[in-house]
Amino acid sequence: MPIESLLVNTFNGLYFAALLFFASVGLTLVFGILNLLNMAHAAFYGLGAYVAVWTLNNAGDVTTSTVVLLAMLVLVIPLVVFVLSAVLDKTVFAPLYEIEHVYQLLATFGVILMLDDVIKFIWGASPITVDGATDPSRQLGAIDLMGVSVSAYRSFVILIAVACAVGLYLMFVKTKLGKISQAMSEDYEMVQMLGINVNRVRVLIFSISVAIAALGGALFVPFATATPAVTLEYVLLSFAVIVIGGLGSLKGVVVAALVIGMVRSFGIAYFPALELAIVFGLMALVIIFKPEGLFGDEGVVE
Amino acid sequence: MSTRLPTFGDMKAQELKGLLLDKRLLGGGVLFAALALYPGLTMNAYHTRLLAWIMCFAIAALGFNIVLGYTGLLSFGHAAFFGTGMYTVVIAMESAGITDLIVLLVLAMLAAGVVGAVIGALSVKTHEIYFALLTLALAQLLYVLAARDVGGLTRGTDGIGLSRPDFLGIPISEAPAHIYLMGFYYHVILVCLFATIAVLWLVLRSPFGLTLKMIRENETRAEMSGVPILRYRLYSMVLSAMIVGLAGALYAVVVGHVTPEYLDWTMSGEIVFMALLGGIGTFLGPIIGASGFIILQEVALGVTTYWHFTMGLVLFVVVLTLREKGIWGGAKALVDDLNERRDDS
Repeated sequence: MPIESLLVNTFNGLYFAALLFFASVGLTLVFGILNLLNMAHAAFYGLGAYVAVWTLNNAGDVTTSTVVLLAMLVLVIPLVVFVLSAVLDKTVFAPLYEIEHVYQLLATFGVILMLDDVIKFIWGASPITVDGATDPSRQLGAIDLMGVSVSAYRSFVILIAVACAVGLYLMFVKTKLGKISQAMSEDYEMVQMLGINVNRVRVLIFSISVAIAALGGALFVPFATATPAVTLEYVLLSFAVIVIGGLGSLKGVVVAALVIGMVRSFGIAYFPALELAIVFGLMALVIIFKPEGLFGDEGVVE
Repeated sequence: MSTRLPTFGDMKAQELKGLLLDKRLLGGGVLFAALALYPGLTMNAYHTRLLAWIMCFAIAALGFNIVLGYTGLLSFGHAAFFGTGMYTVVIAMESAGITDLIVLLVLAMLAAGVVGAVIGALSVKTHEIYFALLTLALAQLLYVLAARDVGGLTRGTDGIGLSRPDFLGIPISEAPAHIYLMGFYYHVILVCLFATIAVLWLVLRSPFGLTLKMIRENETRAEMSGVPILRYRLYSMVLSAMIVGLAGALYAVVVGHVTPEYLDWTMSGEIVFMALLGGIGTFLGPIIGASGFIILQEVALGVTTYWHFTMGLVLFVVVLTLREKGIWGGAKALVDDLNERRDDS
């Protein structure tokens, strides 16, 4: 049935888009607000994936309750990574804010290499998967959506992504932190001169951004294996997303994640050999014809 | 007549004498001789292989540095040229039945030059990170096409095995593998490396090279003085691509197996790493960087399986401390500094 396959592919596209959104939104925020081009950003997506597999596989002795497992994926892991990234921002990343973008790109390429080995050191180089007993995607099973059976877990991931996007939007529009961040993306030095502690804002924005990437990785593993290659794949895809959306734009990330998610989903179904080629082709076309991206010449939330 | 006018012959002799006494040229000659004799004297196949490997990447890093060090553009897509060089050799041998090394190397340079012209033409208008991201995207496009075997030329991720090419009709490929490498192929790479050094030395000191530097230092001024900036950037991309393609072609025979990995962006990252490690602001830096990178990798691999961490840390520290100077520029600065202090006291 063509209508059914259209629905299934659209649903899968939304799921891919949700993962891409988690992996890349922080990259664009850190660039737009803090002026740091962090190539290693998606490595935290990979880290989140590994932490989640480890957590789920060790949770079996204590509990197999779906709610507890989901809470660990959505709340505990991002919180742990939040604290970790606050420490990293003060140490490893601190000197990077002072140097040119091109050197930031190179130094954070070094960070990717380091994180890659830290992950291999802790969890080994071979792919690991979540045990069936503590796999929330199996526990939740399938639901019926307009006559098509889809994974309840994937629907949950899509909902979390929507909640996360709305939450970020509200944070930028309603809270003081969000308003200061917007001001910092306009004129960093002016904000500093107004007596606002920019370093504290920097740590918060950086840690929130990295924690969202880890959240994405954590939500990704019940359906996929954690491998060291995940990091490298998402580094590239997240760059494609933020370039197409426009560097520094929240709306851009949402739209570009949807575009690439749909391209992947329909590409896998109809042109499996060309699916990734279309993504990189799109990325190249955007830089050639519209380097500022779809929404890059606007502010973070406009 | 008491004063004797200097004749043309005298001038020539003096110039020649000056040239011979030039420290750099003398050092280069001694190094060339030492490297050329090394495999024959030591008969160490492992060292020969390592040196061949280093020299291939020294050529790649030198070629890459035309774009980063001299034109001031960071390309994250040079794996496209390296991989094109490799694939040209293997495909030309397999499909066209060409077995002469010289023909293969020329073909690889031409093919890489064409890819360089296409990627260059599309990307020279962009700046800084956009240039880096665009070259990354275009090279990755090539990688995906090769990995998925679109067009049926590359046999996907399995790659293609490679037999040894002949030289000027001599069936040298029939020699045993270590003799082929130690007695012949190693020296081909050595000659290519020194030829690359000589060509780049001349090109970068020619009006063309000086114009590239002018564009890097002050684009607006260059434009005002009537320099067609985009065209010069394109030329530098093509030249760079051809040299990196040559390096890839040479390396293909050393490893004997070509896979899409060599087109992947991590390969581009390694080439950038080598140039940066040695010093992109210096002429010889990329060679030092390629040697340092490969030796470091070998040493780190011998001690621990976690060599990525070591390499990442080195890259991070080099970027933060030495920047464009790299190891070579840093060492030069240190020597100058010490000399100055000695002169003062």
